[in-house]
Amino acid sequence: MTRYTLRRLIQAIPLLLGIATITFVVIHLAPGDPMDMFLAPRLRRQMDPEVIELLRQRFGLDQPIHVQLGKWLVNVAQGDLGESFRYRRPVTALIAERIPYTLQLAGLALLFDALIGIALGIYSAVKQYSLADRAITVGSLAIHSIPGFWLAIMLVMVFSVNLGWFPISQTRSLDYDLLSTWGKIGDRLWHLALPVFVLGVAQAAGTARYMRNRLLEVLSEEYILAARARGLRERTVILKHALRNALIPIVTIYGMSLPFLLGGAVLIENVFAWPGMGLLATEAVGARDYPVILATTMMAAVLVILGNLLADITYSIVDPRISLGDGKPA
Amino acid sequence: MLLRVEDLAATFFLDDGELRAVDGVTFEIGEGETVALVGESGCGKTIVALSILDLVPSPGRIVGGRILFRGTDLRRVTPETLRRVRGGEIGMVFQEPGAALNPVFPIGRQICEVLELHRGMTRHEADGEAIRVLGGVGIPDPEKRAKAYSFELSGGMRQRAVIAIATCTRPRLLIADEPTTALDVTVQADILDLLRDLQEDYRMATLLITHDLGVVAETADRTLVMYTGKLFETGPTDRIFDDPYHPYTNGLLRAVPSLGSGRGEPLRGIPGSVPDLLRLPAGCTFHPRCELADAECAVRFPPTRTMGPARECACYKATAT
Amino acid sequence: MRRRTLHLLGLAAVMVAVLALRWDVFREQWSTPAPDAWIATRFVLIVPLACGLLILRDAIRRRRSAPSPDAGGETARAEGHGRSPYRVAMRRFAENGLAMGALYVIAALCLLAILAPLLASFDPTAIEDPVATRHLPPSVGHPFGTDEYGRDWLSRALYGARVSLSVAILAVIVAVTFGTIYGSVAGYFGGFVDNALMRIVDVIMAFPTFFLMLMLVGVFEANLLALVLILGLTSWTGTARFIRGEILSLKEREFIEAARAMGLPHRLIIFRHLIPNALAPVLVSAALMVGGMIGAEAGLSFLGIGIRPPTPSWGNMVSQGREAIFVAWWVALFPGLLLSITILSFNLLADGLRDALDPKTLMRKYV
Repeated sequence: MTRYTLRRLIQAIPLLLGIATITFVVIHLAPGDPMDMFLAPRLRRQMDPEVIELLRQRFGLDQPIHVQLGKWLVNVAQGDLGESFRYRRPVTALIAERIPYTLQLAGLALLFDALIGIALGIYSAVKQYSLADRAITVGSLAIHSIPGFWLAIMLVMVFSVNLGWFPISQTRSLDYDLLSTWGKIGDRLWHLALPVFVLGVAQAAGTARYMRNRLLEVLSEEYILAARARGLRERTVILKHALRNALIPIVTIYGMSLPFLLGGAVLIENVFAWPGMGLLATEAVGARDYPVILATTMMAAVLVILGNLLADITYSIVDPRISLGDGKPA
Repeated sequence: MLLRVEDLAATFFLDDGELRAVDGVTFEIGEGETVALVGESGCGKTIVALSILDLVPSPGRIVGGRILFRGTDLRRVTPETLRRVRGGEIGMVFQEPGAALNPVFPIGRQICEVLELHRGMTRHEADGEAIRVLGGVGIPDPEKRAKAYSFELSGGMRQRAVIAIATCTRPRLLIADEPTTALDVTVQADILDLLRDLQEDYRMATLLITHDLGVVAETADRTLVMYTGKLFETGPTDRIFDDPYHPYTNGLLRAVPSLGSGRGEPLRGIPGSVPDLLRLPAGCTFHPRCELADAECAVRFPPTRTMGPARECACYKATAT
Repeated sequence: MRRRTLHLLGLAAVMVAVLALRWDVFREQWSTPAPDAWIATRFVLIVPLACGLLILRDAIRRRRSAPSPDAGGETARAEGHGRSPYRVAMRRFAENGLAMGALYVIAALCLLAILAPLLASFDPTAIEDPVATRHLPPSVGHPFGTDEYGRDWLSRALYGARVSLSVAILAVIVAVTFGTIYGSVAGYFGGFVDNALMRIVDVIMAFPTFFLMLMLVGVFEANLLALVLILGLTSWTGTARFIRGEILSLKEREFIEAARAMGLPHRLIIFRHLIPNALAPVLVSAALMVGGMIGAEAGLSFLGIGIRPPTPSWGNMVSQGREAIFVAWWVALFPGLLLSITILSFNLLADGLRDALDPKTLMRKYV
């Protein structure tokens, strides 16, 4: 298993380099002087020519292209992504501040997705063709089709503005600091409730459909028939034998849903003024804060790669065919 | 009589029509007997087997008949009882050796599961018994192998494991659906020997389902010949092989090339092909392919007649010698 | 045949109805130089004529082959054993109620979008009397209410449909075309070329699509054309991977060997044999992609970086609604509802296409 993990880690490195390279390509394809990506034009007029020259050297902007790429990759690897035009702070610091919020949101949404989605999928498969099954199948497609940002607004309108059950935005209440520890946790969760729900429910719809199909597939396998022929209770057959097999690819599905989760987070963070990476990126686009735009996008890709890595490793643990066998999945 | 199946009928309700996979099948199996159910692919033999344990997959359903196991009609028992019979008193072995084993559990665990359920053992007891059982079916190094997964075993060993699971509860009847078809010829012989040994040790009856007449000749006491959901001929194996009454049985036997036959002798198949079960010919379903058929055969399916000691045949043209 | 005639008649009837109900608007828009008005007015005339011609052609054809009851062809077709796999698929699709419903909805939306100049009662961008008409709730005169500038929300929604639908469809065309070519090249040539091209795809796929769009729009100052290109060029990777896989597997299949054995040139092999086989699932994913594109464009417009006002897009309309959630619930509700219905329809369409084209579901009956 560790050999597999090592192999995957090594495979991830060229991907990470590739991400930085693509960002580099974008920097150079952009209209105008690539310098504009690192230094705001209006600032340039105010600065000393020597300082500008230093910056030029730091990013190798007057050097041949492959040298520039090299310098860029080295800078990225060291975490030097330039300075935000808007905040005048290193981009890396900004991102480090914001990432936890996005991870909170995405992580809890994933949890919600896992619990609700899998449960609904199982129920749907077991009660195939029943009213509940049809409702879940159609319902999940419908929910999946609703744009997240609109669903968020609608829910806020109903539950926050009209009913007052949930807060409208922000991560915590105004009197947060006055609350007890439990109160603090509760307050955070209360603020997280709607955003997590919106982000998670769309995913859960997809997971439910997938789980249903997957479980039905597994249930038609011969070892399920054999298990029934051995006199095992239906509940055991489904929950123990079938589920264990059906869940294995779920991990990969979660890996694949990361990009959608992060993309969706951008919109959700906007609606709820949630101070995560997505909101940072949007504000940066509005303000033409290029270093931040580029860095957040790169960071998002890095998160996706790390997430997939985690999913792959988990998969290898969960599927005995990989851990013990020849490393090839079912 | 250990098992008596009376007038069993099972139908598949498809969009295109009703497919009568099993259409009025009657037979018996005595204690310790080996009965072979023979027929070409698609004749319904597997459905007969699944019907006994009420495992016919939808859109199929048993629509008639009685299944008397030790005097009790399995179609009328509570689900609890049926569960106990399954695996506990009737065991089943399937065709694809690996397919019946759950790929994510070690085979030892799968045996233990059955032992804990049907023989009330504790986990600890079951572990030990599982190893014993694995050794009993001829798997070398059973302690180590008990922790193995199905993909780590060869085809023959997987089948042994499946047989172990099916027989560790000392069932009265073992249903073996094409147990050797997917295996190499050399392994086939071993598996058949194993089945025979287990049968003797446990006084177990076997319903052997196969299309391989060689296997039938070697192992079966009695033979049932099936075609398009109906039984054409039943009787003691050696008598049937020596002197088949039904033209279909005759055709089947003739089609098997023997090692001694001369080169250049043409292979003799049965003309025509198995009809689509949704569009069966009227009367005797075999008559379009039968050399003895005449007008009478196209009207009504022939009734089953007793044609000798323990021999029955459903044909208008069959003659007892 | 009957079904087709019914559809053509229905379409023609709807066009004629629109013409009749909006006659004065039609007269007005006929001479307007604006391109959308031109398209709308010509469309509403040409379509019924075309339908009529097609119906006529079908009738003539039927007359010609009707005399002898063709037991083989007719009954075969009636039983569903149509000749080509496309016919079979189309028939199965037609039998799928949900999918057909979705198709109708999409067709209706497209018609609404094309005919918007004729159907909208108000100019979507004109601001006449903001004080008097500001934030009016839905009524007979304004079925969707008005926004804070007093603009009729329904008219804006109709024009918004044009933008959202056309951007999405064009973007999908870009994505599928680029992806198919890319994937075909990779799959057909194999080896190093394949490897290199696919590595690039792997890297691109690591970026969350929406982030990528965000970045590109942020860096490239997107006008409408650029938006379509950006949407399209961030979404081709799935298609490329899939096509490549299909080409790789189809390359080795027996009928390709047979074609080669018969001496067919490469070009013919690719176009006549390889691509049509791979095309079916691509159609399914294209339908799904349209839904995704509509959502993506709406998202970008919602954030203020896609389609910008005064051009209406359902996305930026929702954004307006968000400002007004305390006082005017209808501003956010209707565009979002339209978005949801449209995306749902495309998803159902994709489902229906998949079921109709998938050979496996054919087999399911006989298991």
